[in-house]
Amino acid sequence: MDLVTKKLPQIRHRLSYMPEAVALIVLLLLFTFFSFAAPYFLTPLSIGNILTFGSITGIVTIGVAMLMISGEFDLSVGSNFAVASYVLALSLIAGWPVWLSILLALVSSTLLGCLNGLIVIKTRIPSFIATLGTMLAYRGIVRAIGGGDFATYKGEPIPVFKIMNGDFTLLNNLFGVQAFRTSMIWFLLLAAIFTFVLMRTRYGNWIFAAGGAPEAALAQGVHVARVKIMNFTLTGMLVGIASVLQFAHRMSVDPLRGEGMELIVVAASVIGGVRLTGGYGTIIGAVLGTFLLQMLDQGLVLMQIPIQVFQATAGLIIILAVISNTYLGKAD
Amino acid sequence: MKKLRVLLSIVVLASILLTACQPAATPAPEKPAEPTKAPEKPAEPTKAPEAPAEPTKAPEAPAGEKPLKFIMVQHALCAWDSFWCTVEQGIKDAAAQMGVDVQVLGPDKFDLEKTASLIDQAVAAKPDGIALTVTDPVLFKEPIMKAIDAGIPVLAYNAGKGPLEDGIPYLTYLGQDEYQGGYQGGVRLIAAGAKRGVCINHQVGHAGLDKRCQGFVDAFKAQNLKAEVLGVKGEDAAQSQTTISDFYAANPDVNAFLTLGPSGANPFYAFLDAEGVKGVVHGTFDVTPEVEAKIKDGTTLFAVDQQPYLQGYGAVMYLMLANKFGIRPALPVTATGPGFVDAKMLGKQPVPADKPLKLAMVQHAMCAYDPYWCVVERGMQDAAKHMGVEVTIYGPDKFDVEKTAALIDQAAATKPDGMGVVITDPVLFKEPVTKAIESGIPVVAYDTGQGPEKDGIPYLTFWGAEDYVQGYYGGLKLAEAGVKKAVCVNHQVGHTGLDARCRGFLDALKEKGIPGEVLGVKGEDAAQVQTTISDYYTAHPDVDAFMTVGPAGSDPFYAFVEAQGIKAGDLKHVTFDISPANIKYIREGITLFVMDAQPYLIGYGTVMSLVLYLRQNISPALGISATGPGFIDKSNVDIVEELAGTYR
Repeated sequence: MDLVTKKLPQIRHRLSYMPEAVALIVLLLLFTFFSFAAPYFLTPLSIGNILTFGSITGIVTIGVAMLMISGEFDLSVGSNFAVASYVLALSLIAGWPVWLSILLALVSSTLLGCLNGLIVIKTRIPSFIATLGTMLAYRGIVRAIGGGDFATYKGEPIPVFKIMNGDFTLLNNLFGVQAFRTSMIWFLLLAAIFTFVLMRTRYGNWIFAAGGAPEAALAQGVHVARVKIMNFTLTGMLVGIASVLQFAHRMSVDPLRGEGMELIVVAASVIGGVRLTGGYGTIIGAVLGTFLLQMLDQGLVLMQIPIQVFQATAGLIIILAVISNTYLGKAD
Repeated sequence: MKKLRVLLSIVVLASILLTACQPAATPAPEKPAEPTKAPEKPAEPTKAPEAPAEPTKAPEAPAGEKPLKFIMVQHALCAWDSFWCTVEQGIKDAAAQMGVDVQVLGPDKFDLEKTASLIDQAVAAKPDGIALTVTDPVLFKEPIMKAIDAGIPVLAYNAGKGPLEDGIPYLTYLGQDEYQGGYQGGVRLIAAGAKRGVCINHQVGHAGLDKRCQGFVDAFKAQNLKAEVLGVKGEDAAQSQTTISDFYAANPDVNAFLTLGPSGANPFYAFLDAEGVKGVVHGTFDVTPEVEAKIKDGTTLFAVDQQPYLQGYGAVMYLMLANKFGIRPALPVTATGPGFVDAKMLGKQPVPADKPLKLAMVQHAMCAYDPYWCVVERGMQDAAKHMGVEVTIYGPDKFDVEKTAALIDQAAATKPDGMGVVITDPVLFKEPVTKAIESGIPVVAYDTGQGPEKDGIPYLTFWGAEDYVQGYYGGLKLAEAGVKKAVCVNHQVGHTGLDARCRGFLDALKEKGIPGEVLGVKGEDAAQVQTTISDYYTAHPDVDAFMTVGPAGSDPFYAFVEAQGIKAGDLKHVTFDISPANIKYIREGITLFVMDAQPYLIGYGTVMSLVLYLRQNISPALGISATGPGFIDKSNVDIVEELAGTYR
């Protein structure tokens, strides 16, 4: 009884200051489960797959998590992702210099992100609705510039793509597999940078303030509108980076690319302890949430379970995570 | 405390709800809950295929309870010619796995007259199918025609030239594609560094051997390299050796040799030993103990094998598929060879038949939301059940090419014994598929792809249909029916696949001296399509054959037929893709036949190729294993209509 009456509230209180606690616990539980239940889970190939595929969605998740902490949503990330890939692919196919093509892709996705922010702030339409609109609109751009067809780069190999998202030779040779790619370096680097921004800079404080208590923040002199527009823009930029990195690997993009990504990244953020109402959450949590979902994806394949079960299981985990986070959040 | 209890109960409730709802999470129209598992899959998937499976029940046979009965008639037997033991093993294995009764008939010594009379006896037994060697098409034509006229499906194996060349309308001939044997052999020698090649023909004038050399020379020509044919006297080994030796002395820059059998290979080896020649590459036909030794010591790169096991196995398989599902072999010649026996293949230990095999399939859509794939998946699961292996099918939960590519990597991490993949986008899929192949997993492509050469990915073969080939054989079949002038109605000009169908169709007709052209129509506007067809017919009343390339063309065509009061005999119509409408018009005699890619065969063949590769060291002969055109006409329209959506 002592444990329940005294220790548990204590633990709960302590955990309430760690938004990523739930994600970490679930991740470890799931990892342990798959280690026993899924054949070949503990192999470099499977771990490499999880890290590699998680990196692309992970970069988008960083942006979306930050945006959610500042109290806004972006459902257009998947469409924006496809726009950036098409801009890159079509520029390369047109024979433009590689640096220019990459720059164009990043600029277009950043501008579209900024546009989201302007629409939300200037019209005061809830971001859920506004970006639902731009999600459809940006998908329309994809179909318009891509002509509804695949865009595929078949030219000479591009050296810079090897650095951006090539084989991670060091790890691959170490483990004797072909699974690790350099995108994971960029992902972890970006996660570290934005963790620093969020936790250690004034701008980071503004983000929490803008999401947690916008009126109070405004009263304290925080430019809530500017912070939010900036976050939409940063999200757009991160989407662009993820899209360029994926294209550096795949060399091909189709009109449906990125569809459904908006929900996966929100799910990863929520599992990672980011609160839907804003003002609370961490990048580390979102990163853990991303890897958790990717691990689920690979683990179920290894258990030879049809992919449709992924949705059901992911849904259950989201609900459990939110319930647990809400429970912990009420501790104070 | 109270809160904790509430939380716990919510968690429990959520899990119960989830468990209860699970089947709803994977909706499968017309199929049991789990779409990727065979419904009647036996508890033990590792059943040894050679165990004499009870032949009394063909599990999913819609035909009835009685097992199918096939008779094989061949000009030689295992009892007195050991070559045939491999063929008969293939027949026996297939019969046991597929639950059919098979009887092998043959003379007790080489006797074509006796063999012909055995065909007559086989017909009299009224079997469900006959497979035979067309050793002498003139002598065998009359008895074979009796079988075909009696409505018995007939196909040829090991000996024959295909229904077109033999002039006998049997389903297909299962045997070696001689031209491809020479061609692919040439490609392999060039890859090994050949600069100038020679094909040593030990029997010039023999049609099969000449084709091998032709293929070899063409392969060199395609790379702008020189190659020629050297005729030697096969019956005189010493003289052959001298001829080769003289040729080499006169042409010392020749560094690639192809021999067409032991009669060429043995003098060639003697020549190598006598002259001490080094730095040349050599390939040959037919595996003998001597050739095996030379492959192992590196003298010879490969021996081409016609893969007799597959001839027997495939004959039973195609007869079974024809009987149960009205599935037809796509091409006049179904190649069982060339199979290349090289050092890698000799070192490859076949997996024992009783060892369980695990295959992984990755495709861009699933039966759960696209009914087309139910037929493909059924073919896979049926083949898996027959062959006693386990198949898991992976696909995204909606069409998502990138996710499909990731699934290839994820499925490879399950360390399957073999993999099947769709090549939706060769550029995007090249990396994951190549990685899987390099890690030692045999890979077969299915449904979507263009073959390993065009896709640029070294998988074993592609099971599916090519649009041009479908149009071409459709054209040949239409020409046989006797037409004067034809038109191909294309409802989406500019669509690569549909354009290729029309092109193939018109090319075939042109070969037969029949004029034809393409009529472009607006597929999205049925009424206008009908008007365009009608106007065209008014302006060209001499046109008596119409090909439509899909329902968007055939439906308005039928409206035109009704409006003009056209009757069977006025026009001949052929089209693609089964629909209730064209089934009706096949019966009425307006539509001669419908072609499709036979998705069940795509699934079945993919599993079969992988399992035979693993267990029997059999490689698919060609880069494309054609499943279409599968013709649906009056003879099989009933069974196709009955099975539409499940097996067709």
